Amino acid sequence: MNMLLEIKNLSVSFSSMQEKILALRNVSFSIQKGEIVGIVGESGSGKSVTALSILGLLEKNATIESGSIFYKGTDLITLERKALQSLRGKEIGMVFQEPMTALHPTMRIGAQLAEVIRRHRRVSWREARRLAVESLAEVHIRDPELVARKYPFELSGGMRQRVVIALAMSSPPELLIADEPTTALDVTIQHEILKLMQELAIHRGTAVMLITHDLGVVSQVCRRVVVMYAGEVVETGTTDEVLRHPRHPYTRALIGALPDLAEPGQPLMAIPGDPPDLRRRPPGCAFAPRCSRALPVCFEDHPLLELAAGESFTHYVSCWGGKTG
Amino acid sequence: MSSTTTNPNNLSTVAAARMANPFWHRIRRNPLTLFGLFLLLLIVLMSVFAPWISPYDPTKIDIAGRFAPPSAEHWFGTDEVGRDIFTRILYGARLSLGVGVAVVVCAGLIGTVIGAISGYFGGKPDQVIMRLMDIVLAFPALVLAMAIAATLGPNLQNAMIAIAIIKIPVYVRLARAEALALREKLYVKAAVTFGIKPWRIIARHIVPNAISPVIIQVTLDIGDAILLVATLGFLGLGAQPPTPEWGAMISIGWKHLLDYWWYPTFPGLALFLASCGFNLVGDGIRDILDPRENRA
Repeated sequence: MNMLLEIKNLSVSFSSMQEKILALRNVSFSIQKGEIVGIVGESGSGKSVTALSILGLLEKNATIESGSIFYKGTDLITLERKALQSLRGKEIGMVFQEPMTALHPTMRIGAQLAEVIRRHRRVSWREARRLAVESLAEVHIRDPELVARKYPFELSGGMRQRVVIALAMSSPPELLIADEPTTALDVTIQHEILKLMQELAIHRGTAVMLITHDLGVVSQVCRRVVVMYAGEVVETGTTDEVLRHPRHPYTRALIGALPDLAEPGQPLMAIPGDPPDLRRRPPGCAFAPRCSRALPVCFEDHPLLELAAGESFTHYVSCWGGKTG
Repeated sequence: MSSTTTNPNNLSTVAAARMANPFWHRIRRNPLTLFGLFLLLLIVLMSVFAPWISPYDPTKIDIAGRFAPPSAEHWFGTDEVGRDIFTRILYGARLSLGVGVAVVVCAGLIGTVIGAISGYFGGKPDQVIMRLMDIVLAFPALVLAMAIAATLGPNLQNAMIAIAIIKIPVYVRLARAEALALREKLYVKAAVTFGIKPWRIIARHIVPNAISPVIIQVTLDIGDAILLVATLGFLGLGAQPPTPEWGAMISIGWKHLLDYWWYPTFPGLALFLASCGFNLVGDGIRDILDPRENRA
């Protein structure tokens, strides 16, 4: 059995003042052991909420309405707090978008790493220090001994993100959740960090859930893609299927808006309109108001995530028009 | 190359010196802080070297030499049982400084820990803790301290406990405010995702990063605590005679003010200078550590 993480029909709502906002709606996808899966979507599409739900770190005003998150067969939602706490960092690691603020400002790098290592392994401080330096070397930091003695402010953004990855990978986890790990970095560093994560995934068999809004990043490293829109999964499949033969108009629009993947000679297409107001979900497809191919049925009935037409058994799409065409 | 360019080496040495000790550099530019520092240093040295500075015993009674006016022999005169007032002030400085620092540091530590816990966890425990602190703050500090000291019984230890109790809420509020802000910081959230336990996050992430306003408040409060100790002593609720304590000395001495002016005057002056010194230094440290209140 190779299934590592399986999310089934997950719905999460946030309640503010009087309103209740459905941030995730029937989200389902899975991640196999050692697989890199990209979660794509624009801001507010529920990518980060999904990640926080897995870790059990949703804010207090969030409620899980329904669904389950199976990790190695156990449902994380029903798991008690203590057990989840020891799962965090040990089995599931997380890398954040902002490497500038994700490190403790007044603790030396080595001490931070050693602290996380000691949390999950019964080793002495001396041994933890040694492992800390070792883990810095594994994320290709030159002169790890020296860096271990530095404070975060003495490091560049790329270096800090490497340290954050080293922190997240120190146990090492089976699943690494990376929430836009390269967004805050410049392009050359982005590439190095992606290569590093890919390498770690291959060597250690760590599965990576790569949250991003950058399809270019996805095409570089991911085996499979989950496209999210307005808190729903609208299309999922192998990277090849989704990027080469997109079925959902939203996925097409995303690709059309990307210089690297768009057809040469064609003008770049911006997606008209705004993301939907989650307080007032339309009864039909959430993307219908912005969709250029919307049919009357799109505004009335919500489409289901179903196998797209074709030979593939991995390509799913949630669109009235997209299944066939 | 050209002679008009300033020597870069020179510049960098100045900058390096400034970088090496920015604290001292900034204190030096503030004459009042410097004066406060000088006062404190003087008082500390005098209290430490008291036995070498004065040949007298602070509690040795010499009825024959009672109420002697200031002279070369007794610089500040003698009291109603012939004890040397200068000597008693020196030993009193030991007591006042020791008690002032100990009480405020204790209150600061306890308050910071309570505040960090309260702010980090939030919710019901936070509500309960903060309402308790509000109750303490609702009373005038001195009145509450007197009430606590009187209830526990008049001695120095109980006076210290009373002062610590009335000081704690200030630190709880300071630390809680910092904890509330720190709780939202990404590195604290990151620590949670690494599975670090809450008490450890409070100890390693919240308390160390919430400590700087507490340090400022501690330096400001020591002078106040010294005054409070003396006040309780003056009212008979603190150190009991014959302990050489400034407040107690003033308390007995003021009855003799018209006949023997030196008796209450010199302990009063010592008290004034000590609390003055702590307040000036406290202000100076606040200016340095708190960039928001920076006056160029």
